[in-house]
Amino acid sequence: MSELVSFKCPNCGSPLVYSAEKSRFNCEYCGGEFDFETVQNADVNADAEFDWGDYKENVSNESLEGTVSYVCRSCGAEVVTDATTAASLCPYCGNAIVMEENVSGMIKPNGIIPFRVDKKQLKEIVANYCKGHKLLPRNFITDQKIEKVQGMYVPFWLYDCHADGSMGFNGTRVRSWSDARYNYVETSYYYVECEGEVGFEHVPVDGSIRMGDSLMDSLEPYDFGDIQEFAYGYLSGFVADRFDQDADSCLPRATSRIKSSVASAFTSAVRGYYATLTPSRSNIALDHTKVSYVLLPVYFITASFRGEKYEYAVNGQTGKMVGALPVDSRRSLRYMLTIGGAVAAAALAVATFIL
Amino acid sequence: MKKRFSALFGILFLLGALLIPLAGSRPVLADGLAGQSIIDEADLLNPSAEAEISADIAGLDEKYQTNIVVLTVTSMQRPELKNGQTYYDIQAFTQDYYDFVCAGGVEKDGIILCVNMEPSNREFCVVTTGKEINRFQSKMSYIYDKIYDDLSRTEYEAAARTFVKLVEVKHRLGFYPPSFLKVVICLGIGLLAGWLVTKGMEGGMDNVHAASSAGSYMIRDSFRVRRQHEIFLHSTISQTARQTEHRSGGGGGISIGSSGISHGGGGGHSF
Repeated sequence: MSELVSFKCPNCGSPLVYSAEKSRFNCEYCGGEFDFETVQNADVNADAEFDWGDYKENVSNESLEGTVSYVCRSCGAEVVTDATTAASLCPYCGNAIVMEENVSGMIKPNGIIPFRVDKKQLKEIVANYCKGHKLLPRNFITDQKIEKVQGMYVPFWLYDCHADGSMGFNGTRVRSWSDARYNYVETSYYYVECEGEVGFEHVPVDGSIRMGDSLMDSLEPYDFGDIQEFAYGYLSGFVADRFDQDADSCLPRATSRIKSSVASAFTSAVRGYYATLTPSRSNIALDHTKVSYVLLPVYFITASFRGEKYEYAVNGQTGKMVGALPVDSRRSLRYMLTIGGAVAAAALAVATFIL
Repeated sequence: MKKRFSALFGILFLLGALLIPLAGSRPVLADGLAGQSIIDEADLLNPSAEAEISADIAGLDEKYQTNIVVLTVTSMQRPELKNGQTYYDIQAFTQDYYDFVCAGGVEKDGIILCVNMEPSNREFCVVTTGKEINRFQSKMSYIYDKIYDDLSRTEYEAAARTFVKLVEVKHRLGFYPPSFLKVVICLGIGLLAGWLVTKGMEGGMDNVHAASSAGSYMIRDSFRVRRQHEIFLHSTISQTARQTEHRSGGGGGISIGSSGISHGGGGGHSF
């Protein structure tokens, strides 16, 4: 049984049709004609885009000496701190953790961003975050109790790369005019190609399975100009998670973000000239790829209000707070009806007196 | 002295000679029609309905100090108007008819509906005068739509009643109450707006979102376009016939009749 293979146009990405008469592939969209070799090579190139190749892994093989590891018997989390800091509760599940003698030491990170926000500032940060939200339950700001604050260094992989290549788009321009009897619309179709380059530095992806990816993404941005060389002293009073996802495992997330930004950059470069623009192909190669391993500071806060627990995270460098606040459904309904009523009244007034 | 008298007499004679043709062009006012509220020349209304509507109009005229007239005609030619020439514009005809026939040649607050039943050109027109111009001008489109609905169904009595009712409501309330459908649509818009705003407020209370791009980590000024080119592939032209308006909106404007009196109205509309 023969395998069905379909090829795409190297110019515009549309499906190609094989012409037995000419022994060539034809593109019915852009009119291009290609021989088999060209089509095959083009297809191979398409598969190779955003290939990180043998990136330079800027990760030390050196283990951290003088650190103490704790293991949570409940959720299996392993955290590390310096010998002077006593950790008793798991930062993830809140259960008791015990010191473990036999776990291997933590790999020394390439850098660390130290905590710049003091624990004492957190109460104010939480209060400020809650301010201005009209759908919060009554007295939430005053009655909410912060039960637990845990400062933790979260392992992150930082990806650097230089993207170079081209993107193809299907674009249209529209022109319209009228005469006495008809309205005319002329739509012109173009194949647009843009070739260029762009560099990325320190695209962060957290290397901990237990950390919610969205939560960690939401804490961005960090000021990576503040990365310090790792020193044990920074761990004092805090715990550090060890990475359980290596750089290869986290690579797809970094690639996806970079790919999206490259597409946006190329699209915005050509967008102004066309009424519609649809990406049809891309051929982006990466070079100067590099990955670093760093620890970034995050506070985890557990608060309670009327028996319910709420969890927030705060960027330990910038003080940016993230988390979901409770919504008072009655207030929400009242707001919806009030706003809806006002808009309906305004619409009725316009319909009655103006239209 | 005799010469001076002759010169004065000559001047007066010339002035008189100039004024005679002007006096000759002034319409001769029709007797018996001034003050009538329904002039049914096309015989569209039965006598009982006519009497009923006339009574309603009389009450409204007195209550609101206005002059409501319903006129139906089979021709836009009158010996007393425009030297007996035929009118080709129903609005001009209605204005002159109102000024010279209904109002007796003076400016009189009022509103008139004229229905022309000429077989080749069935159309209607509403004309306002005096303080009624401002009262009705912004709602001409609404009035025309309502009257058109009746006329297009050949329900002439209903059209006359609708006209009288519309005049009464505008005087009594100052506005036309929105239809049930409009109320439902406005409520729907309000609820949708309220729901969207509240959902937006709720969304603002949870700022945990996955990042989909790495734009913040793009090295400043590193994006460089080396080459950009386009290939023209093909083009298509579509044509659609222009819509011709059978019923114009009825917005109208202020115009001055041959009497020199200002009028409002929505122009002629066929049905």
